[in-house]
Amino acid sequence: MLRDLFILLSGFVAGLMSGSLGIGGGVVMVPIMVLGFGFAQKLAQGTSLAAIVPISAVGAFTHFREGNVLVRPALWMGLAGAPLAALGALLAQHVPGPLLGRIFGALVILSAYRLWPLWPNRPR
Amino acid sequence: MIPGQVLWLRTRQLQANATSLVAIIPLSLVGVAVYYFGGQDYRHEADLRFAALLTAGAVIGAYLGAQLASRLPERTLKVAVAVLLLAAGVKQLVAPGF
Repeated sequence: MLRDLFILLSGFVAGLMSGSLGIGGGVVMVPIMVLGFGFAQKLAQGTSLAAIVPISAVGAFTHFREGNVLVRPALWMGLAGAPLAALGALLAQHVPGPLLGRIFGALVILSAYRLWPLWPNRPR
Repeated sequence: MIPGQVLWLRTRQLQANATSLVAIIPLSLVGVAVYYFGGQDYRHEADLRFAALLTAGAVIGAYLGAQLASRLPERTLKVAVAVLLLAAGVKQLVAPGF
């Protein structure tokens, strides 16, 4: 019960960050699951993907209603990307958890670097 | 001219965000299917109940975040989140879980 409350709160924090700063949900949710809830790396990544489906559907629906979605490019990107997503996910199943965790850690550091607003000469 | 450009660019940015949000749906759907059904030793590598709870929190958070975005101290917030991400990333890089 208390754990469920913490999960809700984690989702809330991830949503708040992506809603206000525009950073991707997985970059926030996966470390929360691994470091906060003791998830194995693969389980965290799969669970994050499972959460991203409905979360982006809600966001996409809102944008679609407001006419912001370019439908054809969205379909092309989705269709072209899906086989690659499947391939990447399949590949991940064969990478040992600790190595996958390290690679993901590097990705999180890259996100931190890109978010850092104090770099000189960077129009924001 | 400048307001026009700003408005136009902002619209373009908005359209790009909205469009990629739609494209992400099939990608993550395919991804989660592989994690759930294709895990090694028939393990389901996705906790769907956990994901449902995350979603409930995230939808509320994203809505609130979008509403508050213009009123929040963006730079300070970015610095804070970047530092947290850096710490989490370094932890994952040097001492990954299992």
